[in-house]
Amino acid sequence: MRMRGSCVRASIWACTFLALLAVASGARAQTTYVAFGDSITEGFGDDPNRAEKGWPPRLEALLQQRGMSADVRNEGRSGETTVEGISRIDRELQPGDDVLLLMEGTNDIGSQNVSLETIVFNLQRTARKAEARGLSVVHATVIPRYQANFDSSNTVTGDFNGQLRDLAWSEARRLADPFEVFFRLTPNFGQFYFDKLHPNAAGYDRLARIFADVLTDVDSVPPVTGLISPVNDAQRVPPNTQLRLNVYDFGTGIDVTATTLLINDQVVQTPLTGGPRKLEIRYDPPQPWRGVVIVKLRSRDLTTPTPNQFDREVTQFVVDGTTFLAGDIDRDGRVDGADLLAFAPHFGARRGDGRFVTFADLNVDSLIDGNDLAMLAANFGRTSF
Amino acid sequence: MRTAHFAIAVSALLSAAGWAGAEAFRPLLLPAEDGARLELASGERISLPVPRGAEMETAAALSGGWLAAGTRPDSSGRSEILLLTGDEGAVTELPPPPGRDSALRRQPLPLIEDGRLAGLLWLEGNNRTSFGVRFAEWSGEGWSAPRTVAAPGPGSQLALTAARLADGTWLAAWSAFDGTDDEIVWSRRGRDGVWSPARRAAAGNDVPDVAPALTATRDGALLAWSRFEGEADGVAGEYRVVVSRFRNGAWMKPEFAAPAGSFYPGFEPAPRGQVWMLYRTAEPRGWTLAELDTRGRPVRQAHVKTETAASERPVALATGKGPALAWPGRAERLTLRWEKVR
Repeated sequence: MRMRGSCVRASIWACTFLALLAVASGARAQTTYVAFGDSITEGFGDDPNRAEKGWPPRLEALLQQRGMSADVRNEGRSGETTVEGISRIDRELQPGDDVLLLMEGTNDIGSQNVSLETIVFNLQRTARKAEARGLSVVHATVIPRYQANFDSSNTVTGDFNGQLRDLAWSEARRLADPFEVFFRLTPNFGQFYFDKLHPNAAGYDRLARIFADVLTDVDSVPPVTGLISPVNDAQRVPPNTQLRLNVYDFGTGIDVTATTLLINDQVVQTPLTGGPRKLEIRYDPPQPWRGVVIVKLRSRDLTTPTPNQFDREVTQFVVDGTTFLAGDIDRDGRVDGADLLAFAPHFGARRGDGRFVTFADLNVDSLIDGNDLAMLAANFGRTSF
Repeated sequence: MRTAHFAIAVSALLSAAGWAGAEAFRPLLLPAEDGARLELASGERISLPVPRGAEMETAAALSGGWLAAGTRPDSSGRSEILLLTGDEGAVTELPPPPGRDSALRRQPLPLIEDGRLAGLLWLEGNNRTSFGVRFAEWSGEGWSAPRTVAAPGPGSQLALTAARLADGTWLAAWSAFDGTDDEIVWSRRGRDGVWSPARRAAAGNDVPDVAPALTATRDGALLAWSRFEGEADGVAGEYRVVVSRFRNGAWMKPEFAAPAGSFYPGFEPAPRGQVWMLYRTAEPRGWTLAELDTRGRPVRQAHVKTETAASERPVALATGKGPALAWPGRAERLTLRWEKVR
């Protein structure tokens, strides 16, 4: 009996030890993510019936579904700018936090009061504070604005996200790219919006998946652009300006051999420097630029078996001295059938509709209608450059 | 994030006039999902006839009326200044300044003298990251040819602010990206109507100086802005409000006027002889109203905690019970209690 009792006690001790070990190893395996940002992290606009709002709780569930032990803490704060966030981060980080998921900047952009460079500076300092406390940092591009008055075309937001990608790459940080997924890879991205700035429940679902993919090494985003100069929509660009373009891939890498630059739909030969994570493209025009210059990039990443493709315009600028006729929709210097074809899909659209584009609203009355068509017809066949 | 698009005109005219105790007196742009609304001194609210896509950014009082300024897009992706003026009933659109030199115009800032529009400052550039600062005089009938106060630089020039000094000259300040970071620069329009070359208001540094605000004082002006400071080993640092005093034609070395974690300063119309500065704080999150002495040092202050966004900026009011904060478009009003600053 004594012997048997000793065995039982030993077994109990062993079981207890093993249980403690399991708990301890489990605790070590769990990763604590801090989701830091503004109301888009806090979850404004989400389904009011959800107990926990925003993308962080969804991300936690997704990571657990994918076999990870994860705790995602929501530290989103409505209305916050990066100027404020740089102060708040000190208070929000706790011992044991592992990863900072940093998505902020939408309110700074909307304020129009600080430069994009300062917003990026603030995010850099916020990230450094986290790294100084032992966390790794995942940057996230900010989502596009949807039919907002300011930056309705998302050119400013796109510029900012390009600078943010430059930062993430230069600091060897990971990047989640909601802007690319929402704005470039999703037709009718308005389906994800509660209002002009905030996602709805479907949008928060999508955001969570974007972060989950990055954290579980699923590459669903093609190569993306960083620095672009001249910036999109630049006007009066000097005719000999060098074209500068940085391309990044934060996943499997860029397929360099499949990367080409097109100027006004013509493939141009230009040296690509760098490697599969970052390519630098510098192009000096053999002849001075004239008219409107449309720059496109074709590329793909190294994801197998199906690479993520990139094939679109990256910048469009107007060379100094260029003038346009009303109705020159494609801005090729001539009002012709191509303009009519470009105009037609937008006929009948009002500002706020998905089909509305400012370039077809020739009389700027927020309606693309017969009056605009008449203006185009009056110039049909004429050229300006 | 709930960005309400309103801005508050701090009219140099009104502060210089020595307003002493009435309540809301200036036209305020109210938050609006679409279009724009203006709340007049009488409390009346009017909808402004603005085209879709237009953004009204500021409003100011005129003798017997008001002026609202913003921008509107055109079909080629350009943006043009939109100026609306009105009195009790009628609203009139003023023409934008002629001689546009670039595609984009932004942040129009009306200069008001003795209750009339005297001129306009604005940003102008050919792309979003390279604005210059331009100015045109308004004669009451039309605009003078625009002049360049500061040419487009290596990066963004933003956040225009201006104040009319006691001697009738004007000061303007803004933030300018110098290729490394944002700095605060300024220019003065002398009695001859010429703006001086833009210069830094303080010694250059390698950290952002952003969001300036100007106000006139009896013997010059005060300039406040947010400066990133306190960084050690590249990992600390926060924004903090600094104030510099303009006297005898020069700026004095800026001094901290608020604790770390303070930003977005603005000057509020105050009772005669006082200078009130309102700024945002990170901890506790809210707004602090500070009374400054002539050197720009806080002598007393009052704080209110709030979770509202910084974009939902309140206005300060002097009431019989002391200072108060009110938010445009809301009935909410918070009475503050001054505390001496040691």
